Amino acid sequence: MRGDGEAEVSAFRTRLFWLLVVRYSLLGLGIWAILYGVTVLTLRAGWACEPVPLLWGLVSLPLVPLMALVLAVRQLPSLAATRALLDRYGQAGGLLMVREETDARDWSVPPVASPPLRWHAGRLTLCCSVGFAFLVLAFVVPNSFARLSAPHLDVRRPVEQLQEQLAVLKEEKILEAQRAQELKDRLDQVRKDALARDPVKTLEALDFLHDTTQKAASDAAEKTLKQVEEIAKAEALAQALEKNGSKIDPSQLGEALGQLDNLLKKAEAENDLLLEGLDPQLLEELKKGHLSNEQLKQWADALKGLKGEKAKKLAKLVKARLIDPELLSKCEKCSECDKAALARYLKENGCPCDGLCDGDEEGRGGTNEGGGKFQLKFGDETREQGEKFEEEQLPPSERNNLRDSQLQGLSPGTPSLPKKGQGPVVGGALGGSKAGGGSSATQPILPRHRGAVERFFERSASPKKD
Amino acid sequence: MTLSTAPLLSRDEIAPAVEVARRVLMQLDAMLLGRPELHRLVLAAILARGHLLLEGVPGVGKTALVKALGELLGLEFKRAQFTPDLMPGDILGTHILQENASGGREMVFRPGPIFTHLLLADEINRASPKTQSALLEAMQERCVTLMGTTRPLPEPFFVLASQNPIELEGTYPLPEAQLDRFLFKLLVPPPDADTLERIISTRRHGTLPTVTDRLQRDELDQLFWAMHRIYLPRPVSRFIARLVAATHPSSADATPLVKHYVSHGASPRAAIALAESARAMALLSGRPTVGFEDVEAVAGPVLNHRLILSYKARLDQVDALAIVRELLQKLDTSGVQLPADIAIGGRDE
Repeated sequence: MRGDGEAEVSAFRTRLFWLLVVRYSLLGLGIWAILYGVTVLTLRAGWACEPVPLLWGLVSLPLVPLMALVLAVRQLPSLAATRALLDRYGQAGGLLMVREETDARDWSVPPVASPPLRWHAGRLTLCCSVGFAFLVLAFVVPNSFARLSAPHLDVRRPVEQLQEQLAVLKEEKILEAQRAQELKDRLDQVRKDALARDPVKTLEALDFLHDTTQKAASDAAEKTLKQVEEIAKAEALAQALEKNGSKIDPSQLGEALGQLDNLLKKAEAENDLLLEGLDPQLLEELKKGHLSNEQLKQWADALKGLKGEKAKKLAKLVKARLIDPELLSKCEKCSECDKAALARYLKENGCPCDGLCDGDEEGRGGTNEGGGKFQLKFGDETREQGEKFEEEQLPPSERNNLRDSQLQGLSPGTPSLPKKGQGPVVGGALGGSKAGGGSSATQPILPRHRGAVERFFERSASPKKD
Repeated sequence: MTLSTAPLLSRDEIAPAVEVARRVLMQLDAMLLGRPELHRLVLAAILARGHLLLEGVPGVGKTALVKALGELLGLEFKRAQFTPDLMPGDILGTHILQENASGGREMVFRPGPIFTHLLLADEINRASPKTQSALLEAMQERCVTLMGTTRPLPEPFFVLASQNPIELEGTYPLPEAQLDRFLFKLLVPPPDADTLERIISTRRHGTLPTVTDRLQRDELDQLFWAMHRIYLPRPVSRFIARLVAATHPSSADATPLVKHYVSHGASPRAAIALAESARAMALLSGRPTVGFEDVEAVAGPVLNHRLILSYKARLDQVDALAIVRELLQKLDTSGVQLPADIAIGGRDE
C-alpha cells in the first residue's frame, strides 16, 4: 500500500536494480571486449582475416546489457528482504516488515530514510578499460605482427645447415654463383613461410633443397675422386721415372713421358683438370719428351700438391655433411698408386717399361718380417758383463720369510722392499707379531682390559673349596 | 486465531498497557536514581515473565531495586538471604507434625518463602549447590514437588537474585543449568557522581520514597495480555535464530571471537528468551511489532551469562558482552546478498 513505506521500498529497489544493471553492464563490457579481442587476434593470426570484416562482431554488443538486465533481476533482493533492510535502517520497529505478514492498517510507518548505496567501481572500470584497450589493439595491430603470433614451424636448424652447405658449394665453385644465390633466396622464403598449421609444404621444400645440394656435392665428389686417381697415377709415374729413369732405355723413357703427358691430358679433358697451378715450362718440356730428373721431381711435387688440394676439397664437403665420410677414405686410397698398379696400367696402354716399376721389397707384417712398409733389422745382442745388482742385507725375520716362502710367479717389474724398521703390514689378531717368534697370545692388552684379565687369572689361581 | 494471522494490536488496545508500563518506569526512576536503562530492562524481564540475576558490588541498590519493584507491581514479595548453611527446606518449605482439631496428629506442609510472587534471592551464590538446585524446578516449571506432592507456585512467579562478584571466598558459582533459567543477567554499575550527589541531597539515610501509585492486578494482567499480542515478524525471528546459532563455534556465521573464545554457545532457551524479551522491549516502546533494534537491545543481557567461554578468554580478558557486540555488528540482519563492491548505508553489507 502506497504511503506506508511501500513507496520507499519501491524506490530503493529501483535504485538498486539500475545500479546492478550498470555494474553488470560494465563487467559484461569488459569480458565482451576481452573475448572479442581474443577472437579478432585469433582470426587475424590463424586465418589471416582482414580487420574490417571483423567489425561485424560489434553486432553482439547489445547482448551485454541484456545479460546485465537478466543478472540484475536475479540479484535483486526480494521484497521481504528489502522491507527488512529498510526497516532496519529506518528504525521502523518491524512495522514495515509486518505488512506482508498480517493486517497492519491501523499503524502507519514512520518516515523511512532510504539508505545510500555505495558502489566501489574502480576495479570494474579498470577491467573494462583494459578490455577495450585490448580490443582496440587487436584491431590496429599490423598484419605482420599478428601473423608472427601464429604458430610457427621451427626450421632454424635445417635452414642453417642448408645455408652453410650452400656457402661451401659456392666457395668450392661446385655451384655457380647465380645458382647458389637462387637456392639461397628460395631457402629464405621457405624459412619465412614456415607455418606449423601446414608443415608438409615447408618440409617438402626443405627436402628438395637438401636433395639438390646433396646431388651437386655428390657429383662433384665423384669427379674429384676420378681426378685424384689420375693424378695419383701421374705422380707415381713421375716418381718412378725420377728414380729408375736412368735404368731404362731412352726410347722407353720417351714413351713413358708420353704416357705421363697422356695421363695429364686425359685428366684435363675428361675431368676438367685445371693445370693452372703447374709450371708452363714444365708442361712444354713434357710435351717435347725431354725431362731431367730435377724436372721430374718438380712434376711429382706439383702433382702431390694438386692431390692434396683435392683431398681438402672433399674434406670440406664431408665437414659440411654434403657427402659420405667414406668418400674421403676412398679418396685417400685412390691417392696411393702402387708400383704394381702403375705397371699394370702401363702394360695395358702398350708401354713395355720393364724395370721402371722395380723397387725395394716391403715387409709383409708379422712378428719377424716388420710392418707393411719396413723389414725388421736386428743389431748386436746386449752384453751383461760388468753389470751388478746392488746388494742388500735382509733382517733375520725376512730371511725366515724367504725360507718359508713359496714361488708363485715372477713379476716383470722391479721388486719393492719395505724400508728398514718397517715390517710387512699384517692385519688381524697377529698384527705386530714376528714371524716364527710368537703366537696370537702375544696380542697386547689394552689398559682398560688389564683389570679384567688380572681378575680372571686370580680366580683360576685360587684353590677350589670342594 | 494463531499468532501469525491475528491482527496487530490496535493503538487503542496497546495504549493502556503502554501507559501502565510508563507509570511503573517513571516511579522506578524516581525511587532509584540514575538508572533508567536498567529499570527498563528489569521491567522487560518482568513482562517477559523471566527471572532476573543482578550482579553488582555491595551497596549499589540491587536489593532496593527488587523491593521497589515488588511494591510497585503490587505483588507479594519475600526475601531469602542465601547463606552456606541454608537448606532446601528453608526455601521450599517442609512438613511438620501437627495436632488437628480432633486431637489426632498429621503431617502438615508449611510452605517456604518460595511460595510468593516475587522472591528476592539475596546473594544467591553464597548458598550450597544443593540449595541452589532446589530452585531449578521452581524457576522452570513454576511448581514445587515435596514428598511426592507437586504444588504450583503463585502466578506470576519471579526469582530476582543478586550476587556479589568480588567476594569469591565462601561462594558457589551458579551451575550453568540454573544460569540458563535466568532471562537476564544484569550488571548493576555503581552510580556516577551526579547521581550520588542527588541521592545524598534528597534522601536522608538513603530511605526510598514511599510508593504512591501501586499497580492493580488487572493492570498487570493487561500488561501481560498486551505482551502476548506483540507480533514477531519472520525476518526478526530469523535474525534471532541466526544470532543464537552464531554463538556456537561450529556455526557458519560464527565470528572470529566466537571461534576463539567460546566453548559452548547459547541454548534454544536463549532464543526463546531473546524473542520474549524483544517483545517486551517493543511493548515498552509502544509498538505492536518487534524490530531488529529490540533484539539488539536485549541481546547482551540475554546472552552474556549463557555463553560458556574458554580458559583462553579469561586469559585474554575477553568477556561475553564483547563477543555479543561483535556478533551484532557482523551478522547481516536483512539477509540481502549483494556483490562485494556494493555497500548499503554506512557499512558494507
